[in-house]
Amino acid sequence: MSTAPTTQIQLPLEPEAGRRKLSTAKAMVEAIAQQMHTDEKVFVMGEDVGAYGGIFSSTTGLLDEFGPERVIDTPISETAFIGLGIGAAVEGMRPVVELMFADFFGVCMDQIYNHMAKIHYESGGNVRVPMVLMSAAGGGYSDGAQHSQCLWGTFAHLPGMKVVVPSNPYDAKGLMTAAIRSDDPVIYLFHKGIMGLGWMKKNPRSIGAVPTDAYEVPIGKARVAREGKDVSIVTLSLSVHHSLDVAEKLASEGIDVEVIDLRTVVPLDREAIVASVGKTRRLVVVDEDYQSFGLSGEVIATAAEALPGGLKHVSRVAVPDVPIPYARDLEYSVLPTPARIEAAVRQAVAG
Amino acid sequence: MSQILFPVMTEDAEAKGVVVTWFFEDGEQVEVGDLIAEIAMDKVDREIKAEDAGVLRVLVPEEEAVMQGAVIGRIE
Repeated sequence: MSTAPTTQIQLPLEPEAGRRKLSTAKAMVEAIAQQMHTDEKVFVMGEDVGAYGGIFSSTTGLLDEFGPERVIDTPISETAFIGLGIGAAVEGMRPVVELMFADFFGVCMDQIYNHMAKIHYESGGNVRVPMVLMSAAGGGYSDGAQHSQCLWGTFAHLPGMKVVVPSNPYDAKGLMTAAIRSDDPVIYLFHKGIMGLGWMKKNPRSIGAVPTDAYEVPIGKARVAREGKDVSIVTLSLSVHHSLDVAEKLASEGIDVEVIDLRTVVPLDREAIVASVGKTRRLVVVDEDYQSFGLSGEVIATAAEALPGGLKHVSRVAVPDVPIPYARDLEYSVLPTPARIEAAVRQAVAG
Repeated sequence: MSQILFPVMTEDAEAKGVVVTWFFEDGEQVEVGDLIAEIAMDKVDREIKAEDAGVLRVLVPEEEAVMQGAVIGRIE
């Protein structure tokens, strides 16, 4: 068996967004529903995904549309139902399993990283695990240390799983469609602050134009969210919104910020990082995950390896290595807020 | 022209809800069937779709308390 691809992989084209607008939550639901319509092997499972519709509205309406055999509420038993999903995937189904909070991975990590992530490798590619494990991430609403973590760096550190992290409705639908269609296990992490929920702090960028038909946003391809020439912010998820706000504010002062939305953590679009930093020579990584041993260091290493001696500034705005505080003032002192991002950009262009 | 009403969701005549999201801005063109708003009362959400095509006029902003049955917008 040859390991070299015989043809160049063609990435799917991303269609025009059109005029119809959805929230990120509704865009995710639409993607799942469309794949359930076109492929009877797709089903949804997790805690409160049925009548409740997902506690962050990631599955709202699916029970009414598809019934309890394809939208399955589970007990609080993550090891059992994630293991059930893996077994179903191995047998040819395409489960979309929700782990209610990414923080809860601890009780089911053996299923995730020893089984979901490794079966295709251990079988020499003969057994595939076409499963999506979606989970809510991120803080900013006083939910404490066990309900506010991002942890995409943790999942990304473990080989075998794709890890996608959308920042807006368009990407949320396209990445979910790509994740369900992928024959590989995919971790799909959605930040609660980008879902467009009324009871969360509203964010204008959580409502956006979404094509009606099914489409894929290619897994592994970053997006230039804003072009600029002075400094590159490489970021993802809710921090994209903050970074764009900062970029718009600083534009009036003549500071031209480029914002790269990674969209996927694994596989990381290193070419996009190097292309942007090669142009601006200044890099600020904004990451709501913990600072040490994670994504921000990986992005900086990528730039440093490709551009030795070519960087005028490197810094990161991430969560210092402490659990996320409950108290609002304390929480906002560790999150990558617009104020912290702005200060980092000013320092970058001053140097 | 048609009026967009906050739906009646309870028998409590004094009950108030909120417009959670306007999916189009005041002055934008909408088509029949477009999702134009999401409203909420007592943690129950409901979608409102356009029954006419025309220009949307937003009369009640997001997050403002409103009586059920009230006019929250128009399509002109």
